[in-house]
Amino acid sequence: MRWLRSFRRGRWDTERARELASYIEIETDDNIARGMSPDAARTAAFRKLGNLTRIREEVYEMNSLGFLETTWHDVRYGARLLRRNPGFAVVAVLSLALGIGDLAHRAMHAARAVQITARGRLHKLLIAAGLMCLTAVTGFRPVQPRYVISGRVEDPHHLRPANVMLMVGYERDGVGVSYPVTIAANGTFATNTLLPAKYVLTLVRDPYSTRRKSIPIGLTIAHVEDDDLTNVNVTIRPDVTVVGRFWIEPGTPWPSHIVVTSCLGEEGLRRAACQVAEGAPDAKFLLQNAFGPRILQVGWGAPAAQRHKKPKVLLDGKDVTGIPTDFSANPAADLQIVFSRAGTQ
Amino acid sequence: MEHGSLYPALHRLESRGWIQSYWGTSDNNRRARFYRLTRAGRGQVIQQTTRWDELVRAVERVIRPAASDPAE
Repeated sequence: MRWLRSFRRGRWDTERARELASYIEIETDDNIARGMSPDAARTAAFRKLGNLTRIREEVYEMNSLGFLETTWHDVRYGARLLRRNPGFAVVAVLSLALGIGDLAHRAMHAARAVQITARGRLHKLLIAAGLMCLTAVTGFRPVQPRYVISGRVEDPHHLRPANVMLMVGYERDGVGVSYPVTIAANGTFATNTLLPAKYVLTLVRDPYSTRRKSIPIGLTIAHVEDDDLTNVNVTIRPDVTVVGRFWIEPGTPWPSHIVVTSCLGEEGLRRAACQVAEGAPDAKFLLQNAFGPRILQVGWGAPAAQRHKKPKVLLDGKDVTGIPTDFSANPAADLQIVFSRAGTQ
Repeated sequence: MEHGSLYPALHRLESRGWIQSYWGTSDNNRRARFYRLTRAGRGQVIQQTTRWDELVRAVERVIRPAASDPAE
């Protein structure tokens, strides 16, 4: 590896110098043995070897990386010049900073002009990384958040959502950025975005989930056609797809909490509903999502002494526990989740 | 030819891993640097020798075509 040798070239040079000195000594000895005077013998040895400095230079260059060294020398020379002329240095640095800032600003406007044709997550990441690098290197923020998306959460089913995730897209189905938004006590939320939105997709997060990425319980998509539209009002209207009820077998203690989740088929990737019910043994719950639930998962909590059996899922009286079922096909059906005490039939 | 021109060549061979050098003592009891072929170097010698032999044979066929021609 040539670049590794470049780091060790000083050692190589010393070694070569010792080797050449050794050659001179041996050759001088041989010449003296042939009857020459010591001075003449040494001179003859040097003559036979040739230009010592040139040999060492040639070996040194073989271990060098020309481009890097030239650049390094140029940088050092430039730094020395700037140190000697501080006034010139300040003007040069300011000019560069202004130039880079202006360039970045123009680039962002150009990006807006073409409405960012880049698609997919990679492009989104590249754009975000580029902006972050630019900000880190120059300390200049090329883009100030200037577009406001505000909304109000309508909560007819008292789901008490904790937060809203706004997916703001800059193309109809292309580049987008997520903005987590906290809902105020009066149900309103607001956020700033870097670019004008083409569409806004809202996910209302499950307030009871302890997962880092909590389960979305509502979803709406608002398409925005006007590029310069600000203060977009987004109203969360979760679609009620399934209404069900919990049934607690007589003598079974009420679980401390219940979470109902629906999944998309075998994937199980998009979980979409939850509800907590308390008190009455036939409390109703709402299963809400926009994906069409097919499998139900039920989680519950209870004190250690009051264990429950795995709850049954009954659809119109038929046991569908663990069976892929399209619950959304018949939202009026009688969906029951039945809890019974462990150890009972 | 100056003996010094040998050293850059030796360095090049060593950096390619074809020879290996070490310090030792010469016949007249002087400290000297010795070079020996590595396994890769030996393979390289065989390869280069073979190529040289092929070249010599090719040149020979060109400059002496009539000597082996029975019709002449």
